[in-house]
Amino acid sequence: MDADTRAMLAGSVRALLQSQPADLAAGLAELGWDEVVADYGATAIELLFTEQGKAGVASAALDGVLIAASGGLNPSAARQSLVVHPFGSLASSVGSGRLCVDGVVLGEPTVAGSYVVAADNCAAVYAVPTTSVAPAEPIAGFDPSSSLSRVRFDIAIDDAREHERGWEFAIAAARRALACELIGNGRAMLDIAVEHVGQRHQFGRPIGANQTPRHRLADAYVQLSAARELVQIAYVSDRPWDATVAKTYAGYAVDTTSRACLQVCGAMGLTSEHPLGGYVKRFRTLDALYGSWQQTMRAVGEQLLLARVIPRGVGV
Amino acid sequence: MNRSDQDTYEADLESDRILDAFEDALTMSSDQLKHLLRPSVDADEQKAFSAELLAWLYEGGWVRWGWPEEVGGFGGSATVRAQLYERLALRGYVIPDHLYVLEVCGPAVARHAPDLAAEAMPSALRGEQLWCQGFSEPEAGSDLAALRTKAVQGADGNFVVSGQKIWTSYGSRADKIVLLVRTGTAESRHRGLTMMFVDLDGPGIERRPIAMAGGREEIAEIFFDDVPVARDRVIGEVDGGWAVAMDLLQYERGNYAWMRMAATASHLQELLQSADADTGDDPLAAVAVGRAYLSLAALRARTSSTLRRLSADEVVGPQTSVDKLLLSAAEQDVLDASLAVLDTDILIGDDPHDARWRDEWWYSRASSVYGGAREIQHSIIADRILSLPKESSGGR
Repeated sequence: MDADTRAMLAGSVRALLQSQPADLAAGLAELGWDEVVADYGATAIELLFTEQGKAGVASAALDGVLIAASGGLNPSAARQSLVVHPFGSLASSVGSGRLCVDGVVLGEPTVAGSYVVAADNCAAVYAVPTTSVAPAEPIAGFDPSSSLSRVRFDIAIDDAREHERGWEFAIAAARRALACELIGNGRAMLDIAVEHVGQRHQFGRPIGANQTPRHRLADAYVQLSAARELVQIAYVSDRPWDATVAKTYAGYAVDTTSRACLQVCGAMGLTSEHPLGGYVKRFRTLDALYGSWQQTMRAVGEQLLLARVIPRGVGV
Repeated sequence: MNRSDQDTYEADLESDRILDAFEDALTMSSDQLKHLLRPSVDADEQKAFSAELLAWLYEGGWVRWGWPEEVGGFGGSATVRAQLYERLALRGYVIPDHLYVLEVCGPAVARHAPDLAAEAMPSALRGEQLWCQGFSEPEAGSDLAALRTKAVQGADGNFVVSGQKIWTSYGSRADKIVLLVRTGTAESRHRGLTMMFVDLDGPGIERRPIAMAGGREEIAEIFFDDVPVARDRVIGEVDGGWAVAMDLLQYERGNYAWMRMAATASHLQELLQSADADTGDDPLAAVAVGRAYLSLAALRARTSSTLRRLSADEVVGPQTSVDKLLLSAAEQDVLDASLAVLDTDILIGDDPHDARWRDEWWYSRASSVYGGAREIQHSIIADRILSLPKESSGGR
């Protein structure tokens, strides 16, 4: 994708996201997004999620990424599916002939369709009719604007339909998209904080002329830049391992960024009228989806200690 | 596939072919090179091991990829050479010290003094000559433009150099120094500097190794007392040394950072192989290793982008401060993880391997100090990338 096309598409996506459409998927369809994805693949996904992160808005676009990457559903069935995402320590598992589901769905669960659930991360994937289990409970919680709902049920495994394979790659695609959204979110926070410390004066000089805020924001910039490089690697290699690494590092980088930005924006950054708080809340949601950075960082360490060898890096 | 994609694809295939052949050559020579896997016992043995491995790398032609033919290379892109170093390190070999200096100084010497490079580089690439880089002085560390070592030009055009350099890596054992000196007045700051290539075995040179906290003597102070330096030893223009230094610094951020990344990856791999089988069950160890790997992966991703940009002759500018900061974070996270996981051995072990871990741990501390301290890099990013208000603005 050349720079002009990218700028043009980013502008359209930004305008769409800022209008806060009730149905983002419909809005994207109107933009001809399916064709953009067909032409540009991963670059289009990266662009959409980065812009969504920068705009600080929530959508159910992630479900589309997972379902498209798994390649197992026809388009009409895909539209009626809601993916149950692992969130923080909420996860789904199979044992003693039962499927125990606990996770979140994105957006309003109004569709009479199926829940798509990956148990034990991706050992098996199931489809369960939404009408056959307890209704999803809308969540307000730390980040009400993400409009999550919690889905919890426990059914006999025979009542679930085993679904397509390839879900490991679907989760990798989700992690790459989430990493992009995290980076967009972090860049937006950093822009807000840079603007703030340049404008606000104390002791007769801008807050941003003091070494500590300058260095903290520079540190955030460094980590966000590295996160961007890791996402590129993850798209090039297409390996689930690299997707996990990219999402983990992005969460770590945006955590550093949110701490630094909250500190340098002072009391104003903690108020409801300041834009920073909304991004901080959204960051927590994005980080928790498919495991927080602290959880997956530990998992990365465990896997390395088990393998006793560093996976070969992508060629320069 | 368009034309540039086709070129990239063919270049990648060629790189893969060279890298595979290199791995095979390492396997074939494993008996001949086996003793180089053992940690060297002191700085003299370290230099001998470095020279021996470099001679082998030159003989096989491996280290000649990407250097211009005029200086003893095969031409082509330098990225394949960088990747060879990573393969070498992950097989457990120490990347030769000689190469760290050559990869930083060599491109700048080749560009700004082609005749000198044609004369000096082949023997350096064969491991017969060790170079070092003389920038820092007692009163000029982070503030490099304050340096005072003077070169006075005589009527015949030749120079006489007097002054002192400090913190020079390999300074007590090197044969040549790439030296930044003042040819203008002290007030001329960065405008009155000149880069030159100086023999360290001539008259008027005195060297004192500096023992580091870990015990190794790998850096030195070097004193120059009326040392004659011929006019043709100047790299670039007289009074044009700052431009050469800034050009050279890009390679310090690109090639050098990549090589340190490769060495750091080999430390992490050695840690994984030294750890007890059940170490993964210990959450503290898993977190430390996970963090170390993430920092390393971030550094690798970033430096591979920088290497590509350098080999395409792009000017990377203040963005290289990002690379430098990621380098020190990765080195320190990996060596801290080693200390956390292998704690007792590293603390009380007297095996050469334990001593090597200690040396590496100390070296990782230097990583956020040399070549522009962490604080300098943060300030460059704050000023030149984020455009934050300058620290000097509005008071203090």
